[in-house]
Amino acid sequence: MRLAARTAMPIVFLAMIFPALADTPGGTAATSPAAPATVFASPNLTAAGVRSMAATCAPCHGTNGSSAGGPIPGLAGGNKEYLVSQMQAFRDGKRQATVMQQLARGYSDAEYAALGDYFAAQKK
Amino acid sequence: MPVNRRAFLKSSGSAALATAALGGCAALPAGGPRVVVVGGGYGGATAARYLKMWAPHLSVTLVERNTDFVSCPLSNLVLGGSKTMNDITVSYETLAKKYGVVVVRGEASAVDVDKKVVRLANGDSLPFDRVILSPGVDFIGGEIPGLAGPEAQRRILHAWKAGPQTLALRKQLEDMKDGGVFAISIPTVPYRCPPGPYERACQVAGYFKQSKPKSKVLILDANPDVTSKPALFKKAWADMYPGLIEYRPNSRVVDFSLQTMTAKMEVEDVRADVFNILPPMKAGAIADPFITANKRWCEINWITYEANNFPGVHLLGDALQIAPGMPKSGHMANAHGKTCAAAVIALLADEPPNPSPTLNNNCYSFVSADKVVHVASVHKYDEKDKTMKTVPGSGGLSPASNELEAQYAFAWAKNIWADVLG
Repeated sequence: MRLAARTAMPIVFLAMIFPALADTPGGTAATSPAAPATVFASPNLTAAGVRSMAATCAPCHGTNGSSAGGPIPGLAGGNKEYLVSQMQAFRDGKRQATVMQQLARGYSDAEYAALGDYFAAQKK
Repeated sequence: MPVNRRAFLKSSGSAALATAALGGCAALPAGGPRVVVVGGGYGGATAARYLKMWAPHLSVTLVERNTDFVSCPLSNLVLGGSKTMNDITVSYETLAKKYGVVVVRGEASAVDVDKKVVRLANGDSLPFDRVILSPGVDFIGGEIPGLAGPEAQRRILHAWKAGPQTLALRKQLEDMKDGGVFAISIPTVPYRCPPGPYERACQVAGYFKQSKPKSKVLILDANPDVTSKPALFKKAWADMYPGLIEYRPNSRVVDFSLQTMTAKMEVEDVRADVFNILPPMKAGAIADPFITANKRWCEINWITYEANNFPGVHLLGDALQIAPGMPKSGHMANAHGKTCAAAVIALLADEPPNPSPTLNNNCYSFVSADKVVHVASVHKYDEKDKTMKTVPGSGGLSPASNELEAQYAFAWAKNIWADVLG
């Protein structure tokens, strides 16, 4: 199944597209409003797909969510519901953050749930 | 010696078929299919580590010319004086001892795609079933005639690969008289680490402010404006370093005189006491046969990370022709490394690679020793245009420089180094 970004993403994001892109290096080359919608591939929620997606969290939260130290919390062995609720809170602006509100908006609810399952199953 | 491009392309069709046929073949030496990774930076070392972590049966060899991993991120703090080389240097030992990656210290000189070996400068050959090239950038010489000689090469530094030049540039700054001028010249985009030159200007200005307050930082930018985090950097310069940093857009260095320490611009000449000239950049030389964009960068399939002009050879990191909104950064190379590792594992097992890769990026820049700004983004695969695109609404910048994110930046470094190198 293919989803256009426009239907896959909550409407609230649209207002933020252009200011965000204008400040992203190279982002100004992105589509104009008249251009065809971006056609993002459907999320891959197989075990291997989720493992790869979870690996994008590692630079800050540690490999497999196990922190190497410092003030950024590890995710390994955490509670799934808590992780999902925090991702939603970042996305919706209900929890303040420096970076996470910006990154949370790049992942969907289904992806939050899959990431929550993955990290809950990892050893601290 | 790089592969002869013509001969290489002639042979690529048959070799590609051979690659496909060998994928997942059981009749291989003990240790499983062989993957050779060239380049042990943020991209290549990550690929090697994740290959072994996710598929321990693979035989993984990493070829790296340097003894240790020296991080480009944070290296500007060595110029500023708040960090040492030791703080940004990590050993390859864990990668070898804990993860079983065979780390070969050496210079890869060519990829022989017919014989399926990586040739090393010392005459050795490393056979592979799949090869991953993560060579970073090389500098394009010859654009500034006055920099061609050995004396100019010794004295006018880029320090754009963290290592001996980082220390040498710091020494030049220490030796400079108070009241002197440090000039940094920035090439047109794309180059490695878009915010890096502006961060460097902040770090040098911070050192001057403390130790040589009559000195100045001059930014000669070939681009029409600051290429990353422009408002944040300009605010930092105005608030923290008033009168200390001068920014000149549209200022491309076209020639240089070592005798008079003068850079010739298109409309004026500029004298300085310490010059830091970042030459234009291209994919590292080992990737020359796979360069297809603007004679500088390698275009790839964003699902498999295979070269567009040669499926079977994987490429990642700064050597790539970037997708829209994608910076040439260590964080991004780390993400490439994992995506490529997963694809190689799938291909060797005759399974389809992940059709929907997700990448993210977060670059912290130190505008002083203890204040930081970031730019972040999330990238997903666009099936229509067959490239990675930023997810609408995701990503963004710090609202202002702050101390909290300096703590996060150091934690990022600690975690990503552990992620790259074990």
